[in-house]
This record gives sequence, C-alpha cells and structure tokens, in this order.
Amino acid sequence: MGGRGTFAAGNNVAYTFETVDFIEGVKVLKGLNGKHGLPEEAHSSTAYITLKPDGTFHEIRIYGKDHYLVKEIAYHPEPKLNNGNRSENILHVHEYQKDDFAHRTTRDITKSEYEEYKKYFKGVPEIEKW
Amino acid sequence: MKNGNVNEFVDKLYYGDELVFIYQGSKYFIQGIFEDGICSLYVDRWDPPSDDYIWVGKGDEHNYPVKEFLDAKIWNNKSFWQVENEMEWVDA
Repeated sequence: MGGRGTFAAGNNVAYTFETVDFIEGVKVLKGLNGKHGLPEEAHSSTAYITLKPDGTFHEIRIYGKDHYLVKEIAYHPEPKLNNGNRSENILHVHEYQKDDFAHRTTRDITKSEYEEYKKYFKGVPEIEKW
Repeated sequence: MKNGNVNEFVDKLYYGDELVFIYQGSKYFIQGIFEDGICSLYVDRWDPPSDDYIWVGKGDEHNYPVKEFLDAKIWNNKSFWQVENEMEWVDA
C-alpha cells in the first residue's frame, strides 16, 4: 500500500534531487539527471518546495508522520478552479490518500491553509480578499 | 523525451502526477484528478494558453486512462509515442 516504489526501497532523495535553497527552513529541491517534480515520500523532512524557473514559488509538498505525501499546494493555472482561466497562476491544493495515490483531488486553498503556509509562497502576490 | 526518461514520464501518468513539457515551442501541462469517483486525465496548454483542454480522458475508480492518452492523436494527428522524442520535459 501507499509506496510508489521509486523511493520506497530507501532514502535515495539525495541522489535524485539536490537542495538548492531553503525557505523558512524548508528545503527547495531541484531534480538531478532528468528528474522532475518532488519526491512522493520524504524520510528526513516534512515538506519540500520547488520553484518555477524565474524563482517564483511553484509547489510545496507536505508529508505525514509516516513519510507519505498527504497534500501539495501548487501555484499554476487551474481552470477548473478559476472560471476557465488558463493564463493566471492561482494557489490551490491537491490532497492524496496514502493507500491510493491515484486518488488525487483538487480544491481551492482555504484561508487557514494560506495563513499557515504563505511564508513559503515566494513571489506570490498576497491574497487580500476571501 | 528530452531532459527526462520517457518511461518515468509515462509511469507518473498512472499516478496522475503533474507533468509539464514543451512540444513544438508550446508548453503543455497534464495532470490527473480524482473527481466524482473517477480518475480523469486533463491535458492543457499553458503557453500560449489554449481556449479549452487539449484532451480529457475518463478512467475508472482506480485507474487513469493512460493508454487512451498515449494513443490519442492529438499531436498534429500523431500519438504520444510518435512524437515523444520531440517533447522536452521541464519543471514548470
């Protein structure tokens, strides 16, 4: 259950991703050797961040006590949540179930989530109206 | 697949992962979303932005329609496998 295989056999994150920065103590990762995205599991951290090529926040993945991915907050066009708009980046949330990673849902970010995580949203305009 | 392993790319499709890639100068985005009890794949074009999804496929409760995506002739009337060597996998 849960594990995706690639990272389940051992903590090889160090060999597939490099830490290029920290934001408020959370590692900013960049893939090595053609790797992309962020790990599905984290054994030494509770979250990882990736940035867009221009240095703006792109995504934070948050991992549970058992090291599995439970939630990601992303910043990119999501027309389902933004009246079909495909050019504007918006903050939104994807949630995962550890016993079925395919059950990946999408929804708006809540105000409480925004307040909790906004310190990581480098370069993202502040949301003032809810 | 430039800048990445095509088999890994396809493997990620089975989990609905977000993938960004460039094909013939345009930037595309694919992701899976579980909604209404169904795993669906959505292909979008970010740059230049498209007017609608490029392709949408419906799977079942546990599976994204990966084969349907791979077979869909949405790349100048060609399938993914026919053009994947022209695609560049990028981070965002």
